Amino acid sequence: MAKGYIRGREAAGVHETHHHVMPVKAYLGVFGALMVLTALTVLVSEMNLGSAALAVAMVVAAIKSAFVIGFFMHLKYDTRFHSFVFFGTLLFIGIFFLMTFIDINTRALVNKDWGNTAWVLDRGVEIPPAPVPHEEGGEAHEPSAEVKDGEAAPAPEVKDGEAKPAAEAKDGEAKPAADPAPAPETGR
Amino acid sequence: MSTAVDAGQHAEAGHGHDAHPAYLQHHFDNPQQQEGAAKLGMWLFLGTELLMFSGLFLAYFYMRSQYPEMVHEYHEYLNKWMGALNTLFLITSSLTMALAVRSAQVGKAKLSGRLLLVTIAFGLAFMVVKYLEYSAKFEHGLLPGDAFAEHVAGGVQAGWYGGPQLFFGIYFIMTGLHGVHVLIGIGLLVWIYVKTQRGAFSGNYYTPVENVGLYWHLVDLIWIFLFPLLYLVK
Repeated sequence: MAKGYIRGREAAGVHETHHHVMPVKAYLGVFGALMVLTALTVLVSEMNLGSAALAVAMVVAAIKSAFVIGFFMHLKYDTRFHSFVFFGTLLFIGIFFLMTFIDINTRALVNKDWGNTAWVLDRGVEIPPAPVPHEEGGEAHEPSAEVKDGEAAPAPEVKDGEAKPAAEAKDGEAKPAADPAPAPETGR
Repeated sequence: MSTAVDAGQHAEAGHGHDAHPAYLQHHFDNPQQQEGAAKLGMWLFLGTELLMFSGLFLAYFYMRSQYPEMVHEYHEYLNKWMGALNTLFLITSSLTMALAVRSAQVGKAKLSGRLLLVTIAFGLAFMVVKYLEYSAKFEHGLLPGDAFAEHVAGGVQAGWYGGPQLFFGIYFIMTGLHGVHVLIGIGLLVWIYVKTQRGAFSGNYYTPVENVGLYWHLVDLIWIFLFPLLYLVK
């Protein structure tokens, strides 16, 4: 039989490769589990769990992923270094998410101190009235789109017509100097 | 195993040095090293794919945390049964893909080829459903940004911040990028199918089948998260 090399040295039998072969039944079992979990996801969404729904949906999705990665992608039986690469990726995604959420959840506090109205109003934090133009405020209450046969509903009404960031930018009026936020996009 | 000779095992002539199977590239010592390198490369690539999609998932979560009512209201415009059907298609295609890799592993090339064809068929079915969904969104003006409801009622006049065009922006970017991955996956599967038919793979060498399989499973994996997040907000 053909000879091969290990680290540059000739060696016999190196062309043989040994792979872990999973039984077909195991694949079918994983498939069944994935189907059941998919049905569960749909069921949970019908149950109106409120704020817990997202967490439940994500846990179910994570379990499904574990099945796909562990068995279909064979990571459970693969070189552990591949697991290292995969979980390393997850770690960095975790850092990415964590840092961003810390930013989002503390932004209101910072903006309140800085007198940035646009963000604070979004979060329902009490702030002193800001000098915001009112001229185009009426526009904000118009329904966004009148669609035939009710296919697309109008845009949700803006709760607080007082500060419309879009209108603000349209007027081109100078914002408070302390405002650290970038100019909002008008989209027009 | 030495009796299970590969089609390419005797193609050494002309290499000018020691014998090795045709599938073994010169710069590798042995097949295990070659396979290890190929699969490590694939896992690293899948890692970058996950990182790319994670940015979009983060954008989704950010939008949802800022405008929960809007997301809740507008996700109703996505047909959850279409999404469920597509989930069914992708998970089933993942099963057939895994079985195709297994068949290649145990040297059943013919069965492997057939399973690849079934996988391709499910991938195409996914894209057909996606096409139907996209067509409905286009028709009703449920589009991102300025395009939202433009040709239906002359554009969006108000509610720019936190408006539904944000939700459909995220929807189209996420499902669009995912759909591109499905299309690329189908292309790779066709390539692997052709190679399988030509007898390029055996129980000793099937790394490309395995790597394309990994890619296809990743596409399934992303959909597993997209489906509940976009279609089943509650």
